[in-house]
Amino acid sequence: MSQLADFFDTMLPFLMGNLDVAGASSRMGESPSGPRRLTYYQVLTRRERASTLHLLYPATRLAANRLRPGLFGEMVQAHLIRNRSSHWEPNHFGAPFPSLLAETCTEEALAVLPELADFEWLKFEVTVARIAPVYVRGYDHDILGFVESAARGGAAELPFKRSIAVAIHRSADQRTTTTTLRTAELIVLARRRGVPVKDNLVTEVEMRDAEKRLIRLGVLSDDSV
Amino acid sequence: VTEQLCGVGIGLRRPLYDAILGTTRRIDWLELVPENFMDLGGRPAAVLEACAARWPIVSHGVSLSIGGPDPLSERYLRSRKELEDNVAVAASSDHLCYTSIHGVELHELLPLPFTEEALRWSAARAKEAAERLGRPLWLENITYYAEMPGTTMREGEFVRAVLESAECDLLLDVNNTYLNARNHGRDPIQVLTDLPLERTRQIHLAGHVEDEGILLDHHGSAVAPAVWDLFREALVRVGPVPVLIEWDQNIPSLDRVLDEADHARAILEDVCRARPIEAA
Repeated sequence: MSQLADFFDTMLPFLMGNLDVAGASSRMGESPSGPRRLTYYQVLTRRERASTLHLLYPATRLAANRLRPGLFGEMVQAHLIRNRSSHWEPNHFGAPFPSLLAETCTEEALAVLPELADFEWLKFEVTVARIAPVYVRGYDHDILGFVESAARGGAAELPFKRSIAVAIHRSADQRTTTTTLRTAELIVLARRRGVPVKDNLVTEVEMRDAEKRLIRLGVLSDDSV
Repeated sequence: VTEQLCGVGIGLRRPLYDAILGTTRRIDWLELVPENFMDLGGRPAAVLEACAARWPIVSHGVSLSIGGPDPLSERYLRSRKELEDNVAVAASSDHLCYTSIHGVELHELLPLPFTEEALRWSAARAKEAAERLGRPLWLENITYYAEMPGTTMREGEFVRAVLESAECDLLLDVNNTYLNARNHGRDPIQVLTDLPLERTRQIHLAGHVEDEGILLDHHGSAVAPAVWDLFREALVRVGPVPVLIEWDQNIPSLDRVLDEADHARAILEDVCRARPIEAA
């Protein structure tokens, strides 16, 4: 094995925090700058991956730390242990975070966190996708105001329990937007997707108005009418 | 292609999209990080298209992993080339470092050991990457906080040997040069002149911060006075080249970034008008 290949084989577990500086130095020799400086690269690599989650999930972070100070850091640590990045775009490293929270936040008090993370990830996906997706989601907490407040650095009350339905999509000028869906709009969307719905929930006039609103807001395209 | 580029550019970063599109202040060119736009649509793509119609664009990658152990990614190179062709970039550059190992993306610009083996490996890959991207590839001198085990050369020797062997030009990061000197107890001018300055095609300037007793290249503040001084020294030696203000964290208002660009432009004009260009 070449010296360079040996270097990389040692640096990977070292940078991932699975090998300490003494172990790394015994395998590839000591850094002329000393162990503290070499260890700084462990700090930087961890910090960079953690910062991706901090930036992608500001509302989730705010809510988690309100529920229990330091909780978001614990979740990030769990994510770092479980996941490695395999995409050149760093934000992709954050993709599995909502499912991690869905799996681990089993207490009722924490149930809002997977919803916030799911919403924040979908907003990111809609923002950058080459072909704009439209996501329709039902949440058990009224998270929208909290997310907006977090984005502005505000300190709104934690989301309270109330079922909401939202579409996360792009507007005509390509900006990411969220539309709260009412019953008629949900029925329009359900019918478009071939889901059977009772026909006595709303009137035909309400259905037509709902369809117009969804088109105006960019949830449905004109040619789908 | 590089004849289109002159003056001072700034980074096209998401928090500044609206302000850049709306500004009437002078911007000479824009830099994009290709990884932030490759394969993406939506607002980033729309903003880039609008910007490319107004300003020259240069591409400065962070994930090519020129010195890394994995084969150069076909998917990455194809996406990057498609983006750079679509935007008709005026220049393309990356870093002399590695960023991934065995398929794991580390999202950090990591230093190689300064050895003969690493230089031969990196040079061959830089040449290959430039060919596959279909345009010259400039390489930036990165910040290194620790010399890697096995190192047998000085940083400047290593950078020079790689660039000469790869027939690449230098993207001279003056902040990195300053930090490397300070972090390793060397004289900044000596570190600067050790680099292959005659190959300089572009200069980068950025802010740094002290972290755990180390000067960290964090691109999150104004350029430090000592770095402005070193920038002057660099210009005396390399002559008028395009300059980029990098501000990627704690991004302030566009006006604040452009104030920094105006300052760089004033120095560029002052040095290159008032002083004869010295041989590097």
